[in-house]
Amino acid sequence: MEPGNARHRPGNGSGVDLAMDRLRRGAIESCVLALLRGGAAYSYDVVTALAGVDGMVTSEGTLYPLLGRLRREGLVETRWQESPHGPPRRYYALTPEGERAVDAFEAAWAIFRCGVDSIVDGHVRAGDPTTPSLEETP
Amino acid sequence: MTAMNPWAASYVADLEAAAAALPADRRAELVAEVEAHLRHAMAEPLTDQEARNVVDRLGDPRDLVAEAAADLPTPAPAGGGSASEIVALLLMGIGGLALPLLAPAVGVMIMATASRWTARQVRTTWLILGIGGLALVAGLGLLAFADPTSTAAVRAGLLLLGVLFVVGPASALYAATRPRPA
Repeated sequence: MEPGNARHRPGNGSGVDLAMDRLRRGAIESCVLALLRGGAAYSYDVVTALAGVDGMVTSEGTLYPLLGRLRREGLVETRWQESPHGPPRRYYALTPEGERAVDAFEAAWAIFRCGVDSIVDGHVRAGDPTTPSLEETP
Repeated sequence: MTAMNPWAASYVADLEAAAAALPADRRAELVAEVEAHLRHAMAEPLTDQEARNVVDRLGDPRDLVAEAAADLPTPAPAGGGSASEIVALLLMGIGGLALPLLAPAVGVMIMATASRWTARQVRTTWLILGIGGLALVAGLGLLAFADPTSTAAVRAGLLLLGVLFVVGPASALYAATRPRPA
């Protein structure tokens, strides 16, 4: 890992970091679920894959409690798998409920992203009676 | 199993200390996952700096513990909160039968200091006691000024006084059945 990588900036209070932090809180669980759409994965690989996406993770370790919570919520299930190198590994996989949750997030995210874009890009103004509904926004 | 890298061992020790307040199963799961992560990341020999980077990327152990505790129910407030809650309820309930209005009033004052209840719930409890106060005034007034030969008036007066004994237990029941704040 290269030092000074953009995703390791704990304590840096720049505006972009604060905005990223707020967005991450709302999306990180769904991103974990979406990552598991590709099939069961070793927890270490889930954590490092997410940490490899700039801005998604500030602290790799907090993903482990998050995985545990998703399991208690019934969105993922775990099984132990023997490893040729070392102790058995814990694999995480989506449950049917988890698949539905990530499908729902994907649909919601598409609407949300368009809505935010249309507002941030200045296409929506307060008091404008012709404000397009979120679905109509390109 | 080979000995852990000193950075890793030190991190796990910090994590175990930070996780002391977690329920045992959740603490064990968290520590086991992080240990497995560290062993996996350090399976190949690393330089000291590389090992430090692996540990730094995991983040502050306290953040991990906070995340692990995020969906736990909030424990009862420290500082004898639950003892004062019981005293308040006893004064309202049992005290309300022995010493109507007065004992429950003291109970509600104690209730107001406990974080178990919201200010709104305390006001509602005062309101319930207030009904008892009104019943006292109305009942005494009726007995004092109504025609003493009218059995209906005397009965109504005594009935109103009986309300006095009901409002204490009623306020205790109301307070005890409020859900704990999340």
